[in-house]
Amino acid sequence: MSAHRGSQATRRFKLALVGNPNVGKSVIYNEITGGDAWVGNWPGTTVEKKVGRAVIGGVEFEVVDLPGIYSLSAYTLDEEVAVRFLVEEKPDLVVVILNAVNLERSLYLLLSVLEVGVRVVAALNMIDLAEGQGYKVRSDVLEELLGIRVIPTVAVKGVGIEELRKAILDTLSEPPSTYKVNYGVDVERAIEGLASKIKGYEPAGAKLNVRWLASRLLEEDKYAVELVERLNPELLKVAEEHRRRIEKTLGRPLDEYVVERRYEEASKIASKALIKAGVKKLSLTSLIDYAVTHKVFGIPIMLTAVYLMFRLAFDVATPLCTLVDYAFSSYLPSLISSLPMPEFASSLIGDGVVAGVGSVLIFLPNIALLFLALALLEDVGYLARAAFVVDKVMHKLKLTGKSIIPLLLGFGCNIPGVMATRAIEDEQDRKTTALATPMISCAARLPVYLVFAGALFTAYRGSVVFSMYLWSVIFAALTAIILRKALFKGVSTGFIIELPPYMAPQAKSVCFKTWLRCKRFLLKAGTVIVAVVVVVWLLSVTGPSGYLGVGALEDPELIEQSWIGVVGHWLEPIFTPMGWDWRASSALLVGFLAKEAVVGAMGVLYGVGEEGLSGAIASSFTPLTAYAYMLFVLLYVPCVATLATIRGEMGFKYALLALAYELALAYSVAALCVGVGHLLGVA
Amino acid sequence: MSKSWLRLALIASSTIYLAYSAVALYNWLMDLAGLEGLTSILNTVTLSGDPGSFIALLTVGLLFTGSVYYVDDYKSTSCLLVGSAIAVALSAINLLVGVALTCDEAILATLGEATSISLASELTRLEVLLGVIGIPLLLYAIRRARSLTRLEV
Ligand SMILES: Nc1nc2c(ncn2[C@@H]2O[C@H](COP(=O)(O)OP(=O)(O)O)[C@@H](O)[C@H]2O)c(=O)[nH]1
Ligand SMILES: [Mg+2]
Repeated sequence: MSAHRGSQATRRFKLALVGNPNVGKSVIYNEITGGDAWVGNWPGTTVEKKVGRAVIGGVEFEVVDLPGIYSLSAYTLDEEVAVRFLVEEKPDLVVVILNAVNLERSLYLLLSVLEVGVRVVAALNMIDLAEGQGYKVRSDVLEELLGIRVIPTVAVKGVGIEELRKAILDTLSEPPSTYKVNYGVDVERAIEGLASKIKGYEPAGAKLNVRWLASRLLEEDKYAVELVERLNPELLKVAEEHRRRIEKTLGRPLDEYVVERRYEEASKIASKALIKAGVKKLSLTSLIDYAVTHKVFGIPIMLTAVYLMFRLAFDVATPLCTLVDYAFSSYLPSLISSLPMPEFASSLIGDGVVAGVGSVLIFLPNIALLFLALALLEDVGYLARAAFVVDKVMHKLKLTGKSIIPLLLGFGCNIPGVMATRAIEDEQDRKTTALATPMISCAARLPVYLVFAGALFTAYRGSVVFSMYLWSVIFAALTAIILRKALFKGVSTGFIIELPPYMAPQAKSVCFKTWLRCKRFLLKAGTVIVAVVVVVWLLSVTGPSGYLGVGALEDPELIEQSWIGVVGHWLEPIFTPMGWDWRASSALLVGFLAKEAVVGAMGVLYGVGEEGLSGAIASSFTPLTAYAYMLFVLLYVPCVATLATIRGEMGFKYALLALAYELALAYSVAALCVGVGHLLGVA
Repeated sequence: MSKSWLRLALIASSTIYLAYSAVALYNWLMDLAGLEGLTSILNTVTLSGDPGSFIALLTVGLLFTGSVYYVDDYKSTSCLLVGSAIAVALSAINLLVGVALTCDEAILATLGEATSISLASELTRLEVLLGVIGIPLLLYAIRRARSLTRLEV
């Protein structure tokens, strides 16, 4: 007994969370692990399995948040990830999260998981919403029919989480589920026959659930076929024979029949567990959605939402920006220069570190408010509508509806955007979207636009920045069309995004998400960007001839002899058609590491503070060359981190392709912009 | 509020918003051409002139029109609810911007970088005033939405 307990204490149990998209899986994951998984009111926000740790009643668990799925049929990449995990990693326990508002569909998935033969606890989530709609779901009836523990929860309010923890612990010491969907005599007989055949080939200790494998094999499930082929290809032929025989008696495809049977069972259970307390002729969600998804009003409403978001982010933040600016361009520099320090150190801190951090932090108010607005819209459920509304337009661009989600996320940061493409079933669509996403203007590019627009387009500042976002959408669309025509041919799959109900935003969730995103921005600012600015500072005070002295920072002639100046000069001829000087060229080099670093680097290169940068830009660019420069920054390369993500998702080849394509595109567009400008007589 | 009064109010609101959106578009185009548009009424109420305002005002105008156009109670309530909500949000955002920009001037003055403080023109934008008129419409729309989505036991 004590030995058993000892092994329990040291062993780490594996716990997986499975559920339909948008059932609150991530909320429950966070509740259980104290983790920080992204919670969003729209389908497809968990794009990768996320792993965390939890201790429940002294027992240690490794908790895996799997992507949201509707079945285990290995039909989409998400489903394949999930089914592979369940079969190959053999979790000790699976928590299936049911949506009380959409019980039937949740039960379908639950039945599929039960068939795999694992220990299952069900969390019946969103009971608050169900009650609001006049339903009551009897968890005791579900428990009785399914033979597992079913815990009613309201995840966002923490209701039922303690009970869920206890149920997990209690179920752990019980045998796995043996629930079977009855598929009828003929199919059952075939499953049994096939199962016993598979059993004969099963490697010792593999512990496969042969009944499950047999039934999936009959359905021609991609993953089951692959698994069995590894055991013995002969089995596939046997399965084929069985299938043909049954299909003859059924008079229809077997996979269709099996899915239907499982659905029948799910809806039978649902109807027994559901109690209707009243009737609601119309839900608030569908009332609001009439106007919001209307074919005429839908797109204007979406554009208005974007406009309001931008007003909030850029105009309301002004006083905060002023304060940050004061701190970093007047207060701190004068404080540092008053400290007793050698000139070199004082310049390193003042002109390198403080200036670098300041030129990034000055945009934090803008970016934080943008993220706040984005988080609000996401949690309310509006982002999903925005996607739905643009869906029709995007179909004309040969993209699927689901492409919108990564592209919209890309406005925050391209990295989660590229990662979210995983939710797209079709391979061609997925690659196209992943390569178009870096065209979307992420928050990191905004500082560059703001500085340039502020310096040269004072009156039209807003319009110029807005136009960058328009261009970004246009180029993303063009890229998608070109890729679809040239590289990723084939029909695009139609897909209607399902719309989640509107929900009141939870302050905790909104603030948490805003904080997470800001933290990421700050960590980047605190590490990469500051490092880059310090390196640039170093490269500015040293050159082929050695240490030039900190005077180089204020003396344009001296800095020209530094490393930065030298490399900038090498690059200058390439950019002469655009009218950019060597400093602008050098800053572009730095921007490859992270686009927001362009601003900090320019501050150092022109040897001016934040205040002076506007003036320096105004004197070395014309509005035309500045606009071309902004376009170039929009397009030229995804940052290193995005490139790394593309490599991770699609391979090195595609990362290189993205790099080459974007460099070529940016150069042509900037040259074209200046050329057209000259033709039109714009200075 | 009686039905005919409501219709009249909605027709008036939609006309005002649509007309104003046309003015915003006109102002923006004039601005792009470097010309003077209709920037204020009697030098007291400021008028917008950017593409964003144009689209927002147009949206509100269209939704109010929709709420008059549709006979079906649920369709017209939907338009009224969303339209008045956007009208109020537009007003609130402009107020917020106005307050923020005024604060900014105050900060600059404290830091000694500006000499005088003036109220930001956003505070007197026409959207702000129109949004105030939108509040009763929004309250009415919420009441109607409540009765339409009531749970019948
Ligand atoms: N009303 C209500 N909302 C919930 C509940 N659980 C989660 N949500 C919301 O549902 C949305 C989806 O949650 P999330 O955890 O991201 O779902 P996932 O896609 O399954 O990971 C979020 O907006 C949550 O705030 C619940 O029990 N009640
Ligand atoms: Mg999730």
